[in-house]
Amino acid sequence: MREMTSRERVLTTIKHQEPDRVPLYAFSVDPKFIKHFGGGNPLKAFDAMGLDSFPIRVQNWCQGVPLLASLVMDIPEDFQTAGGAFGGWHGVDEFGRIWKRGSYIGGALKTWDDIDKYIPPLQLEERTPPSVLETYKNKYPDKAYALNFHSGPFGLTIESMGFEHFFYSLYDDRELVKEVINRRTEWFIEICKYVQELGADYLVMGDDVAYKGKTFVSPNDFKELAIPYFKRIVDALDIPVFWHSDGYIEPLLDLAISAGIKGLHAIEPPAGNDLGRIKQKYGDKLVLLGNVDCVSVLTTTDLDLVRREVDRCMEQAKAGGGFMLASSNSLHGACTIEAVTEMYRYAQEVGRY
Amino acid sequence: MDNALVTGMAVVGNKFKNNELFLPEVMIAARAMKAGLKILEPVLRKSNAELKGTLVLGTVRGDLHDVGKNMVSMMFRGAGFEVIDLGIDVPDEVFVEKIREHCPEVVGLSALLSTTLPAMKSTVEAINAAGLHEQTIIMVGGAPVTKEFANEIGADGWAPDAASAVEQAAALLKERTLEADR
Repeated sequence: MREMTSRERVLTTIKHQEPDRVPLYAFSVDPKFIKHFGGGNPLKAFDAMGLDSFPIRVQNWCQGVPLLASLVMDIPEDFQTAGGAFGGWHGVDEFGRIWKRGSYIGGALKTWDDIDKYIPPLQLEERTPPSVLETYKNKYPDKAYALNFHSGPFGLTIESMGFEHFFYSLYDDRELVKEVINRRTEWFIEICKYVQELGADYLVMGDDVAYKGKTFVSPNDFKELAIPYFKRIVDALDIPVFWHSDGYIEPLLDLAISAGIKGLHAIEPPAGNDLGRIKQKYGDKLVLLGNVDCVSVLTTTDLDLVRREVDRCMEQAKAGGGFMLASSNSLHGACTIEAVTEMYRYAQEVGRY
Repeated sequence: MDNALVTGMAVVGNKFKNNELFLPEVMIAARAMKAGLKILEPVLRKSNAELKGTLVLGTVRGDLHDVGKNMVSMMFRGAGFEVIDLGIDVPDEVFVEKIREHCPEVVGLSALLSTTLPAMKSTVEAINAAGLHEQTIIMVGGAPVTKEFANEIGADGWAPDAASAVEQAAALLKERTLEADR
């Protein structure tokens, strides 16, 4: 088979056909990798890492401090615990999430009166300047472009209300919860439509609904509180919508498919997900993106272990297409440069069809 | 308390483990339990009813996440333990100080970030160095924490979720009592 461009490779994969090799994907990338691989330039870093799909970013702010602030400003040590993409976030962000030294600690949205305060203005061109994407596409016309947008309506509602208040509110004031999800969905759709026009090939909607071994809410609650809103997002867009969630999401996949979701990231193994099982059951309906273990493999410098893990992913999900190799969540700060480099290098070697 | 509240929470815990109930239902049940305990408090004080034990609990230094820890706290309260919740980002010396102060049967260390696992190890070492490990059971948990890691750092117990943590603590306490009786 002739060598495909990155974009051809990704689009073929999305059609559930076998491209020349498995495409390489990342959902979110810690500034450490952008500095190491690209000297602080995200595009250069994505290219050096070998990604076939480049992420399009939608900017968010916490009291004026942007995501990935450490790429553009000095973040004092006092303002970051975990650092990473949220390094420098300290206070209440535009969605009502409360941050302390770069770590999420709770939610400020408690009442009906708070809703307007924490549904931010669209600020479309400030969040994703058209000129930036134009530069991306001029410089790297052969890449695929994914709108990796971690502001999905359900998870963000939980985070902005705070977990405990959200859970209580499901019983104390369910209509409040639904209204927040509804407003977040409207906001999310407007932003996605705008970025779709700019040239995104697909959307990966970040919406965390689960943790290790379990979903936050029951499948019945998920069906009522997430699925109709996912469907509205899918119906409003022309590009395929994939879904990213942390945690154990296998019990929710039939519902997600019923809403029109076409792909899945990150399929965390330590949370209990089995890539092979998911491929077998849903491989013809969902494009799978994952799931090199970023908890116990990518955090080491054991390159043999990394290669075995990439082999495991390929064996479980490569056949027939519909698979992109990625980490089992973000490329977070505790992942090592050595392991990430080897993961993408080796995947190009063994990912050929 | 034993026949209604504790038994009720045990049912909730089991259903949670079996995926019949989820976090919101556990939180609501725990809130009801807390309200019930408040009403019973004067009666319990008068009758000198004994608690099942004391748990000193916290998220280790550098980690600011508390949802998992709060679940553990509620499940232990629900099982009849007094819980001393030290909060998040707790330094080693605070754990040591509070163990000295409260002499708990169980100490619970929580972490969500893999980057804070070394802090968990350091807390266990600090408790050992202060000579307090013999008098308490150290349990660890959180998303990146595995049974192997728990063994490696010298913790006594590990549990994959809050409901199992209570069962595990009860089993370890029983084991320790049996050993003491031998």
